[in-house]
Amino acid sequence: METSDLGFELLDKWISKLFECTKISEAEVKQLCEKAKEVLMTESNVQPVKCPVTVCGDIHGQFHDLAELFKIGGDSPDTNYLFMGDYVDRGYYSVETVSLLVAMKIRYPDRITILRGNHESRQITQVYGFYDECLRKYGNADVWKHFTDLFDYFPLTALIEDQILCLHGGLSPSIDSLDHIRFLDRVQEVPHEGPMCDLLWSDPDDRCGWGISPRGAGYTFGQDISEAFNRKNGLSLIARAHQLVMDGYNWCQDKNVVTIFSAPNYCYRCGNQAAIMEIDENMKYTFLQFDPAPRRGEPQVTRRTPDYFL
Amino acid sequence: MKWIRAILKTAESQSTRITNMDLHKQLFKRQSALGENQNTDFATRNRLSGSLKPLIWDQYFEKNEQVCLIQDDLTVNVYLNGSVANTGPVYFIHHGAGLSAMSFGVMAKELYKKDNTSTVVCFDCRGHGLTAAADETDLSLTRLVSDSELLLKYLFNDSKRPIILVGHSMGGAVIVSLALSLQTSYDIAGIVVVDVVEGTAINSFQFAKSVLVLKRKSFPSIESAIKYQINTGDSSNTESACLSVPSLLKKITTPGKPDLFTWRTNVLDTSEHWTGWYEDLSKKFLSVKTAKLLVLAETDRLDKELMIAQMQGKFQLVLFHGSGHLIQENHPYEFANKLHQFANRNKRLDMSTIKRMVPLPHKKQDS
Repeated sequence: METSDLGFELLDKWISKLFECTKISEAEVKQLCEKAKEVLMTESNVQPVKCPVTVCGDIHGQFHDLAELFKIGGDSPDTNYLFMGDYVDRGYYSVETVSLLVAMKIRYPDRITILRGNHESRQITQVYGFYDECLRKYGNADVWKHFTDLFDYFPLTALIEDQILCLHGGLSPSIDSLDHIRFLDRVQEVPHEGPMCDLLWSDPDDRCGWGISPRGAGYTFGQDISEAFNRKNGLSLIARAHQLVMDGYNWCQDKNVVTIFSAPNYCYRCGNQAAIMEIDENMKYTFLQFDPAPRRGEPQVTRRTPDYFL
Repeated sequence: MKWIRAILKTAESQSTRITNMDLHKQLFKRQSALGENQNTDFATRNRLSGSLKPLIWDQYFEKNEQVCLIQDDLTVNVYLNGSVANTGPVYFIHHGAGLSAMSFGVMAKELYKKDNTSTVVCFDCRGHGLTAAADETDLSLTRLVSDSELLLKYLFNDSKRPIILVGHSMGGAVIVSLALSLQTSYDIAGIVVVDVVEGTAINSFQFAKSVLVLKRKSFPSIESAIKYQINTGDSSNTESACLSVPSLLKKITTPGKPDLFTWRTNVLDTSEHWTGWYEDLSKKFLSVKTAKLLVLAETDRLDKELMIAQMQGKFQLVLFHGSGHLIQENHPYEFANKLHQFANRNKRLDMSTIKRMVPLPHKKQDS
């Protein structure tokens, strides 16, 4: 595939720079996002993906752990990757993380798929760190604006070999079929409610039926719901991220749903393992778990203690 | 954080502290600050006149009652909105240490305005405000929970109404234990904990003492105490400060000398109870079987247990970035909005209100 105004040579230069956890310039980010927009706007809300592919969950700016992920899962583009959102916020290297994934997406559009998570939003990134990180690293909010404008184009779901639906959050009571998802107008800020919001916010639950999500957005859905959805749409599995699971992956709802979380020791304090799911050419799953990468010169985690709390 | 306060207070005045970097952020903050303040009466009048005149409870509550709970031992000073024959949710609100019912006054008025079927209850707890107790010093968690339980049962005896418990700081710890004690006998529709997290609170005790030691002890007038509260940066909302600070003071009269005002509650004296308030708070908060909302001033305040739970979607987190510890006072309108949304959202799920996408006439091909 030819990239019109961004040569492979330049892209490769950016990618190797980003792999060193060195940010690219503001002007380069602008170019990167413009090109990525062109690539992503051609993708479907239910982006078809072929196996073999390695499916990954939340990253949250933990750049060194993403580098570890590539070590464990295999280098791109030799390994195909599918990321299920939440690249930014919380960790210290959201800028480098999302720049790298977007650059890789442009360089190898058929070998890497990047979906949208609930943190790929203007509103959430202003609260949970990406916005502040952009200001700190570039001196203004333009880079944040380039990226958040780009997030609107990220696909909402991917479909591996017509069998495994991958998405960040979960199901929506407004949606019965994959065609419903295909018909959503996704190029917008993540709404506060409605089907697009639910896909990025919902969680599976032990109780049957639909429930109010304790998160304040989306719903909870029971095994009856995921079973019916999978049967109706000819699916074998829903793979999703969004929830921290201590082992990095977690089967639930009689193996109708699997949760994958790829940020080890989340937020530098949760003590969880991370995992990725390899799907081979025969659609067999293997989970690879990993621990935090050794930290080299990473800022000390000093939490500001407030004056008082009484 | 001072510059944020400046922006929120007077959107029209440009603080010199604001750098270019901050301007973008300022735009967002400003939007929310403008959006939140639709109630223009006191806030605007005070801001325009620059007045720090004390405000009185009756502008914010319909009713003030003295409830005698334990003969000769405890008479609780209670403020109510929507006290008569109401059907909606009950908001039962517990203030933090060294504060009073008035800390939620501006918020309570706004909240009731949003839902006049609700009842909003604020009260001064033991050792605070106008509540009188034989033992003013027993601010142990057990005692505060038992006081609150007696009051709630007195006001809403065998009530079937949904109850939303709200507590700020120390009050947050009280309402979490209260919820655990009441959840089998009452319909606890939600708990709301404001700016307190076990791990972070316990770490802050050492600093709290030095902050409290440095706090000014007395004032020549109520206005000067209000001014002090604003100048220290604790209060960024004049209306709230003018309502809440007067209720935190007591007058000292010495013959032949001018009157002095000093703090009604010496928070430093309560330090023996601090650990007891917050021990196991995170675990208890998560174990209450109801909708949970945690309101914090900084994202970094979550401890490990709550960080994991938040990332597993076990409760709702709302952040008021840089608001300072007195969130409900500094952002009363936005706070009322969030509380009202939380109550509405967590009513029983009605599937008939969910819009389902219609079946599609023909299939769209993937590109």
